[in-house]
Amino acid sequence: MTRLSIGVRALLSATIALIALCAATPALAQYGDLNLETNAVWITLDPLYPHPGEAVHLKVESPLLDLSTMQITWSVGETVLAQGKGLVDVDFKADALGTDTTLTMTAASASSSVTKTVRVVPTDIDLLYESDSYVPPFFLGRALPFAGSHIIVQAIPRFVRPDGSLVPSDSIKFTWRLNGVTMNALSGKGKSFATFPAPTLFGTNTISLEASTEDGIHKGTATMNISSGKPYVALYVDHPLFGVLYDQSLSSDTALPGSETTFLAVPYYSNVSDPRGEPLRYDWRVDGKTFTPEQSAQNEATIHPDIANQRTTIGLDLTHDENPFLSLTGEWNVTLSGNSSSASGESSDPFHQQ
Amino acid sequence: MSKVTSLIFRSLIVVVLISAIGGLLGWYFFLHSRTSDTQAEDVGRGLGDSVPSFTGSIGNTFQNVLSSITGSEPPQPKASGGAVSQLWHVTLNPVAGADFVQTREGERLYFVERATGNVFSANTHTGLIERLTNTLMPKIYEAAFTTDGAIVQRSIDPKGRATTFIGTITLAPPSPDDEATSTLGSLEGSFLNPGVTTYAINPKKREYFYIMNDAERGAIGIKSAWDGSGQKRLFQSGLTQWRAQWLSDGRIIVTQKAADNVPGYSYSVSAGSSPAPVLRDIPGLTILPKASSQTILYGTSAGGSLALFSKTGSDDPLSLPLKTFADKCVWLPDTAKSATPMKAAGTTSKKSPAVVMVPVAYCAVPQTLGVGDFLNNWYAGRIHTADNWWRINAADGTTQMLYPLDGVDVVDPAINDDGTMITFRDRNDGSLWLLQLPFKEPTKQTATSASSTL
Repeated sequence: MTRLSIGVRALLSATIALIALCAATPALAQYGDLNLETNAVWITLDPLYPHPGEAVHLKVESPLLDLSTMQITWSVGETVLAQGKGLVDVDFKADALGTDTTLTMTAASASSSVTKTVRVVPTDIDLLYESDSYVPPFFLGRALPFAGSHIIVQAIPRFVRPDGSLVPSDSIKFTWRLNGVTMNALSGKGKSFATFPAPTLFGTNTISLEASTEDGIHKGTATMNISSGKPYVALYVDHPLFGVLYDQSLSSDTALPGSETTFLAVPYYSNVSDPRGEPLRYDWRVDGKTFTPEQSAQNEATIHPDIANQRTTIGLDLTHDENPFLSLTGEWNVTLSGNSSSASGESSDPFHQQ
Repeated sequence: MSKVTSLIFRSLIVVVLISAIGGLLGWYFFLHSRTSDTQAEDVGRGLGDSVPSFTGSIGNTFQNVLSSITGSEPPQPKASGGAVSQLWHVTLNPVAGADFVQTREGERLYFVERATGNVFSANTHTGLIERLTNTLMPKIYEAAFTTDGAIVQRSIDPKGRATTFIGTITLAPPSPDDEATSTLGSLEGSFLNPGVTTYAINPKKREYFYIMNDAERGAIGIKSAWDGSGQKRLFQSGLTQWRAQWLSDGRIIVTQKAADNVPGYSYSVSAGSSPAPVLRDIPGLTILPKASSQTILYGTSAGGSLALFSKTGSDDPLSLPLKTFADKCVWLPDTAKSATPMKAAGTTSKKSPAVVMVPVAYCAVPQTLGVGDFLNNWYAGRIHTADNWWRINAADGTTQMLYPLDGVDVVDPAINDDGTMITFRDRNDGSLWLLQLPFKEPTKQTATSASSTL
């Protein structure tokens, strides 16, 4: 072997050793004996924006570190929540509104450690809704949405600062989504209520909201599903003394005292504010024949049978000029007993439905 | 003129005369028959009837109108000193609202006649009914009283909008004639702007709270003195469909109107602060908060079924074995004779334990509920129930049936301060009832098979 070949071999070996040393050095420098917060780990929360008192599941993950071999400690301040080898999951109960809790995760091995913190600020958001569909005066129930009407939604956020004060709604940014689509026109700072179209026939709308303060400390979400209601037409007696008897909707077969009686049709959950006329169209029938009421209000009709104690069939077809989905039909058999001389003496109450 | 011509002329005259007379007679009989038909029709509508007197012993619509239709006897005033029955059908006449009022003569049951808006006073001990006012306000749909007899009446104007009258009863000065019996008073007050959707009355003094539509904000809630002064905005919402309750401890509770399967929310409102949640996200929520207490009675409606719960503070709700809803319930007042103390939970001092009254509620419970969406249909008058009165211990969930009713669909119950009587209307006909409650603490029994079922 010549002196030259020996020298080349030595040089080559030295070069390889040098390259290996250089490659190792950065790794040793990165994972030395220093504690670091690093983007090599992240912590997920489920739910992401917990409510007060809600159980929160935290999980730490890393694409670079083998956390299963590391001693992981979860703590809140000085208090250790849990610790163990490879303990990547922990459950934590969110505190009350107004608390701001920082959880610390430390993953340590013999030669390195990494620390990550996550902030938990519980929030609450109430999501309320109603519809602008029609219900009569003094109706104690809620109007339900139907195709053509609208859903009015109000968010009532409870973002509480550590001093106990509430963040006012006009300082909160609201982002509204309808069926997953962000509604930019409805969203913005202080926009705590919004109006959406009602679901389509037999459909369901999903309305979701994300709210946050400008500093990003308080955040919350809420979601609700709203199904379409079922409109119907109900018939009531409009009594000359007592007004409309809204407590006593006529059934399919009803006996009433008196002869001439005025009836009022109420189209529940229809997309009108005034049911007395257009765009609603009322087609009345009496005993199968078209009947044109004398009243100016189209939803009222006065029936005067020619013969007392005669069973009269009142029919009604109701449509909406601008909403083809609204088509209601009703039929009621009414027996008007006639005047007082022909009233049955057995009747103890003229307002009982029979 | 020849004889023939003369004869013909005379014959023609006779024929014409006979024809004319015959025609006139025929026209007469034709008109007469038509007149008879018209008269019969007019009589059927009341033509010729004497003008009804409103100065009878009761002088109400039933006595003058309904009794002629039904043929039934109107409720007779009881003789002085006579006792009313435990369940008293106070009036057959449709009533817009009723409540217990403290007067100089003692507690009375005031009620408003739906047809006329006249106010009546019923002596719950003697059964005597007197008319108090003579101010005609037709077609009153809702009415309420303060404890000292001020009044709210609600109706509908020709445009279909709800009207709200806030007033007082002004009794007429006593007649100088010693032989005169009673003189009728009048209602004095004013109307709020149309657009009031709901209201509540302060049970302690003459104040009211109302929510009205606002074009920009949706709805605003305002507290006001009875004369309209001192108005304060307590509440603002983008939503308009609320119900309000004013408790004797000063809290005003607003709750979304209920619908089956639809989540409802309830808040306590006060000036200068955001609404504080009472109950949240509960399907078909109806609520009855208890004054001076953290206990709440609430009903849910979901999946075609009603359920009733009681909840105290942050404790878990207690499911009650009765299928009804909060609209048909009243709390026994802590000042009631039959209220019993219980030791409060978490008492640390054995020497002086905190004492609160057992939260007792009385509920009208339907015997059967049928199928389908109950609340939506009941509110629309499409279904009616036949109820029985039950007593509920909201602390431990025990129940006992108190009184069976015969086909009465209870609405708008109210209890007096002593907790000895409940008044309520029958939704079937709007008539008014009074139930005297047993004073003695009933034996505790848990409702099992006696509870209502679907």
